[in-house]
Amino acid sequence: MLANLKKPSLYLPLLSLVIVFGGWELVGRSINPLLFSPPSVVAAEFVELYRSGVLIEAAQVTMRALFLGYAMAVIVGVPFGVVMGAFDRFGDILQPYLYAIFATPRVVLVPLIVVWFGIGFEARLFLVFFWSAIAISANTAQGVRHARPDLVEVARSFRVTRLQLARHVLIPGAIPFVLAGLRIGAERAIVGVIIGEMFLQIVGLGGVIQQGSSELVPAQMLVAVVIIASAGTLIVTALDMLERRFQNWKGA
Amino acid sequence: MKDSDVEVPAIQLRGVRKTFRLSEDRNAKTVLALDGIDLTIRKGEFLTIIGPSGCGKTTLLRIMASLEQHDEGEVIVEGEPVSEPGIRRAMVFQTFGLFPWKTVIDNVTFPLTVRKFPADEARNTAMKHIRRVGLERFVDAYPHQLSGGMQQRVGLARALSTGADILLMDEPFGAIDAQTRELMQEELLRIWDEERKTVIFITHDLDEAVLLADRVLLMSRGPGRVRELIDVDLPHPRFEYDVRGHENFAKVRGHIWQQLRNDLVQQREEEAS
Repeated sequence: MLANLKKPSLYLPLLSLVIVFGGWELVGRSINPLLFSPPSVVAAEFVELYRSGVLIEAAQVTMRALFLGYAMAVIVGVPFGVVMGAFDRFGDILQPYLYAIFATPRVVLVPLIVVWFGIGFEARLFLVFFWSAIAISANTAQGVRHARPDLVEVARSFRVTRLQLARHVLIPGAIPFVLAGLRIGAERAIVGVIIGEMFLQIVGLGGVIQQGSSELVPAQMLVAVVIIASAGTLIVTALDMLERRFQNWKGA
Repeated sequence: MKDSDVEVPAIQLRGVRKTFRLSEDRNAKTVLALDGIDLTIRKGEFLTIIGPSGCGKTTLLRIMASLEQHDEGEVIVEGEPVSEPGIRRAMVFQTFGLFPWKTVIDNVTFPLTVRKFPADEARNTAMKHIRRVGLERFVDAYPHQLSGGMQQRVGLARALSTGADILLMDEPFGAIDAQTRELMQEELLRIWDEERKTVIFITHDLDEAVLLADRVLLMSRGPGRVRELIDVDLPHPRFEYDVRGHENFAKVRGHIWQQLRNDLVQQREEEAS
């Protein structure tokens, strides 16, 4: 079992994809086309949206906010987390707020964000950045705090300076946690950008969904959903693989 | 050898006392872990420390390493009172203490790297000791790719490459399977025979305590004290004959066991009442 989890085989996921898409096609054909679409129709819609340039433009809008916001979250979140982890008191003071924000559904803050940032690019950027940065900070802080005491002691016995301790022990020890933070942060970022596009300014891939919904073109919605799902899976899987590579750094 | 007036001892403990607080709370109850420890360890001596669990032997070793601060008394290393870890002492840890993100070579050079040794010099020194423990084929391996015995060989090579002349070993073979342990005892004796470093070696294994030691320090608990120092009169080099078959081995072992047994029985009676 465990061995299977560690090395995912391609066979079963592919089989499951074939079955699911097959089932979707069969069911989709028998439902009112105003409510649902089979993959064949979705594919045709995809080609059309692609040809017309709508899809490319929407994807660009989405990716721009997503990557810029996420990059900012990494740049701010990691150092902030290191500081939080290294200075216990600082971390203790901030922790409850971070958890509170982290646990609050973002949608409830959307009206406030509109007041602060309007409904445009900045607002979406904030939606991506803020929650993603919190996830990254919280995990990084945890990693720095949970440095293995036995290894800290080893380093001390060889008379390391504070800086050497950070470089050789604390930071490498925190890397698996940071990577977990990057993965969770990416998930948060993807949700953030889509929320912004669906509930603020109707643009990007989220906008394509809303438009499809209001114009009763389910195929159009599904095209966007599939693209978002695929992109999300790709990003999260890549980060997950990176995280696995560093698993050994956690234990002895 | 016995003329400790002439030669500066490797480590001297004078009236060392250590209490632990039971929690981080300032007013928490304290426990006396070690009391009135007086001990002189000669240069080049192989001293093993044994005693019932909870007798404070690890605490004692950590105090010698300055990884733990004592409350009273003095710790003198080669004539100088110490309170911080120093380069004349190197520690070998029970759970090996290797950095999982460093290869074998980088783990072994670590103490030299932090002392700003030139990279090639650190590497040469490290390689010498890696070869001595027979791991030259694994220099670029990571700890998780090695067995427990191999990991501890890395730990030993790291301690040796520091150039320290006092090795502090905290149950180094405790987490290693029995057969590998015997092999490593032999290797350690061989290395000790070549360099005659001072070795202070904690163990809970009676055979191991006698097999390796010039002197065995037997501790008692509640609080931890020196109960007895026992000379082990067995000829060196010990890796060249069957030490366990020697009549002195049985004699010393029997004597220590008698004392340990008394302590354990007494302890059980106290716990029962």
